[in-house]
Amino acid sequence: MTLTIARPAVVRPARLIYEKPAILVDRATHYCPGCGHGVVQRLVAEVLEELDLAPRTIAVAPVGCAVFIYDYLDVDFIEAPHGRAPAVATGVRRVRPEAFVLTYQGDGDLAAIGTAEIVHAAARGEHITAIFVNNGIYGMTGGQMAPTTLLGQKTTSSPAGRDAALTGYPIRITEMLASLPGVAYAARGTVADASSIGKLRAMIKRACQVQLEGTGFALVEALSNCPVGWGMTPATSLAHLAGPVVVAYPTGVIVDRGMIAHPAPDLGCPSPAHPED
Amino acid sequence: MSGMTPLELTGDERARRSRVLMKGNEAIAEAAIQAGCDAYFGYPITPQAELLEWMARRMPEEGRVFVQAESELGAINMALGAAACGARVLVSSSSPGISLMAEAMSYMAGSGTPMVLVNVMRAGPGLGGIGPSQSDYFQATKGHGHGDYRVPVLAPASIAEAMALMADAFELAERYRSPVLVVLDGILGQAMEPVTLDFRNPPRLDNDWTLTGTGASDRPARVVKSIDLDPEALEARNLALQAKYAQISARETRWAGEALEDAQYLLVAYGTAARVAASALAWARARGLAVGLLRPITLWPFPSDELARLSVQVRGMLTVELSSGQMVEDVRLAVAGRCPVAFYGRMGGMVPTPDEVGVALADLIAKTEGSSSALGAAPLRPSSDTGGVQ
Amino acid sequence: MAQNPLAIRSPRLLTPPVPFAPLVIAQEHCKGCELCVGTCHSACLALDRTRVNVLGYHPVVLVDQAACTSCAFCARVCPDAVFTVWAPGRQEHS
Repeated sequence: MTLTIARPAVVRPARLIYEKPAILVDRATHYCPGCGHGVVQRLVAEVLEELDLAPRTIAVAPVGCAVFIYDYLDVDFIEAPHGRAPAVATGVRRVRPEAFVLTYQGDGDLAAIGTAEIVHAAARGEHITAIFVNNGIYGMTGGQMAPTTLLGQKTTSSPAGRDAALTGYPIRITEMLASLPGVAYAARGTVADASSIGKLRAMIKRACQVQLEGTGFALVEALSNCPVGWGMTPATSLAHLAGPVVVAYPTGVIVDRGMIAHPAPDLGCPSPAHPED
Repeated sequence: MSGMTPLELTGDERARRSRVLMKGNEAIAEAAIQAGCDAYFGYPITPQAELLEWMARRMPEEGRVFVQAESELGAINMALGAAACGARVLVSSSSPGISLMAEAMSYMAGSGTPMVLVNVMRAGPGLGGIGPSQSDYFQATKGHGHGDYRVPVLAPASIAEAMALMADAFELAERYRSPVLVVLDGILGQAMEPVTLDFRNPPRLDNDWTLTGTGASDRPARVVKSIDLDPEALEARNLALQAKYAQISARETRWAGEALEDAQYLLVAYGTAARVAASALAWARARGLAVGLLRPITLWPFPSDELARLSVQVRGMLTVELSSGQMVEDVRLAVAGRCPVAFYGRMGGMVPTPDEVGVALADLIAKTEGSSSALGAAPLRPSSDTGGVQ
Repeated sequence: MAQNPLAIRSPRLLTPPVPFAPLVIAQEHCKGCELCVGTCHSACLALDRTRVNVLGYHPVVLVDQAACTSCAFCARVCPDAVFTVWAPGRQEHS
């Protein structure tokens, strides 16, 4: 004899799985279709909201395709001259100890004209979070070669393809910076697919947490696509990103020091997570 | 610094302890600190390294920000960031370093970011020398960065005046939301002069534009920027800047005059050149010559009105500069041909002597009055020797 | 030079669409890049080639609601943040 037990019906309401962050301004962007800037800035907005940092964020905008990022992220912004964002951010950081300081730069901005500024902000261990969007090309000015352009890649200023004999090799900025003791966190991710985007988001979140921990400079390099500059459709540009680009620029966490050799100076930031032994 | 007057001293003792011998670079630095400077960003360059070093020691003592940047380019951009957040910011450098700061000056003018920048001028062009110079007049008043903008320029002629002008400079910068240049030649930076420790800390202005984070008062996000891709909007922005400059010109022109009332000839000079010219003035007056001296204190806005007024009174003007002749062009513009304008100058770090200025003055008078020499047997030096008699 | 009049924060969609749909798509922000179409495991998405939006692109639409698992990978890859993703309610009983 079977005994049927009638259980009451359980009604579970519809659940919100994802909505875009409030601080991501509700407007269309000027970026090309499929451009990774849209993904990276969305991830930055998600992380700032998740960590409740937006009200005290003072961010520094670059020159490049992301020059109008202040139209898309609703936080205080200062426009920096080309390449100077890490120096501008240093000024902000030093006079506003209570602020959360973020820079957002492309590869032309950070790895060409701005190389001195990023190296020295990193060397000083400035308590800032630097987002570095690397698509290996100068997008805004029409697709010229950048120091990060891959060998053989054709651009408007390397129409025959980049030749190492003439213009050297792509620069792995993040590995260079990771060698500096002042750098507490340096990682590289991509926007190539949903899984990579999830990992990149975790890197951005960790880089923000490092600033809150007060252990030093934090950098995330987000390898991105440039469909128009590369002469590809959005889909094929992501395939290219997942292929030759990550061979030239391996992904992963390059350094996460947790705590660096010298204690963080008291700039009013929360105390380091790991007190010195 | 030891010898700073403790506030509890009173009367004669305080007065005695308040007057000290200070090096120009250090005096300016201390005046900036006392004027409420929140942050200093700099880079070593001769002849102003002492200013940086004074700040390196004193700013941490006062709990304020000091950063020696990786370059002048780094320093001025740090200043841009700090000033956008409402800090009272000072940067100092010398001529080649100011060239590196030109880009950021344009950005600061375009975005309305206040800041004081001190240029302790040295001889150029290029790497040049470390001797004193006034060859950055063009750079200060007409050059540095790109675009349609002006920057108020203050030119002290003594260390005491330089100290007083620091407070004025911060005030001007904040009142008009503009970078302000204070220019002195290397002599004023390096010399030591007696100064009174009498400082002024200008009050801060309320504002609605500095970056503080939206959450501080749950307000809409603010952006400090100079870009505007819409030509109509950018023109409107530029017209607003021009209106601001017209206001500054109307209200902030400064100059000092000596013996102007009955002057028949006028010396025009600023900074150290004005002190040399003042000695030449005394020499001329002792010989019964009605010579006066106009000393611009603001190089921009330039005292064109006063020069125009004087140009109908005097028979000739002699501009004296430590350069090939830069301010003299503005003098000629103001005079508009109403009287002859002569020039005397030295370059390369050489400083004119009162004797040389006297000779040039005598030449001017002789040419104007058509006589061979009104003053006796002072021989003319050949032009190649003086380097700048025009 | 102070606040940006166009910086309007994104509204919060506090209730799911009625009738229920797992995706709310801001079609006027879509640029037709098709990265979502390529990412979707269930082939739920396609461009609506019968119209163009205000930006001049064919916007994406949900073409197979039943196959959507609310995984939100489309939202992850979208550079224009057009997607809001809901999981449907369930009524469970034995």
